Amino acid sequence: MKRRSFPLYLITGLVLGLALGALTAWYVVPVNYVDTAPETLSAADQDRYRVLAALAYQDNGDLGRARARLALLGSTTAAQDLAAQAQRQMSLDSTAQQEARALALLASALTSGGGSVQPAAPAVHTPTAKPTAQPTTTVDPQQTAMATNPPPTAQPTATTPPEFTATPRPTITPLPTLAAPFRLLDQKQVCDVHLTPGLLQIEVQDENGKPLPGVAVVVGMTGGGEERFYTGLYPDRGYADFVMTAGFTYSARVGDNS
Amino acid sequence: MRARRWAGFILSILVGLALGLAYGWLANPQPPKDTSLNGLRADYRTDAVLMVAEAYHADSSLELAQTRLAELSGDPALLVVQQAIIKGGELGYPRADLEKLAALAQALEKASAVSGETAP
Repeated sequence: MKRRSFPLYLITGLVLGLALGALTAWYVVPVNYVDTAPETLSAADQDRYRVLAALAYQDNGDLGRARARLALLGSTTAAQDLAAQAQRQMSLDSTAQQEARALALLASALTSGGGSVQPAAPAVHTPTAKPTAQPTTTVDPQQTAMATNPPPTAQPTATTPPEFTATPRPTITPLPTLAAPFRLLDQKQVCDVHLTPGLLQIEVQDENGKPLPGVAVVVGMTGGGEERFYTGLYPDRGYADFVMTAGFTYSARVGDNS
Repeated sequence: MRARRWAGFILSILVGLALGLAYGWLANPQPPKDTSLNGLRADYRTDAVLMVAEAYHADSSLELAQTRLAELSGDPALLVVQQAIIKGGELGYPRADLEKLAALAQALEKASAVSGETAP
């Protein structure tokens, strides 16, 4: 009696189909999720979510709420994530820089674990005052005097109408608020094989020696050209660096209006 | 005999393919990742709209608010905010939050009315 075995080609086909089907379902046409949670967001959308959380925190000053919102992203390093994102956004356009400040503020609040910040007052748009010369009416006593000729008669005589001179009043042109001046406290050369050659490291502190993030640093080089960047929060607060190229002379200025 | 074998082989591949797809889509799908903001669940999206309203409350920039709302949903900005107000009410949002949402909705409504008036 001859025993018939299960044909191998059918098993081979089945295994091939299974593998093909599973790979297709996982990688080629994966499940399209709706009604998702923030933790599944792509990196770019997580960045947008963090910006929203930071801007909302600027308004409501509710650190607990901000913390809860960031917790939905599922990261255990929320403050570092915020700081790193703030650093990245600092070099972008003005809107991104405003967002970066909000991110830095929230990162700072989370790091210090402090209470709430004062919510920002709603912005009120006021018409911009134009520096116009306001004509003011000054009366010259000499010109308002009566005609010097004494009246020959007792009849009232016509008097010269007083002339009004428009004296332009000096108006104060508002100047941008100057940032607090910074001075060089210390400068040293570091010899460290782990550091990039020509790395200029800058640490900005306030008058109490507290590191200051978000301060503009402008590095100019011989032959023109300058680069503006900001001190950040990561890896250290108030730190910024710049890689210099050999053969050029650089100058560094610190502060927004430097 | 040979043709029958080929037919059996192809049939087994098709059966395997169906089983594999069922396994990959239903039994063991890839975990959700790299999703977008407009795929957020309604309650999360409502909170995100509230964040936009809070940002608008702070900076009064309707243009930025509209841009941010467009990232949250493909629907018109006003509709998104109106839906958020309804959902926020259902979820028991505090009055202050609902007022911020309402302020944004009003601003959007006003802006759309103005643009409607200026349109030829």
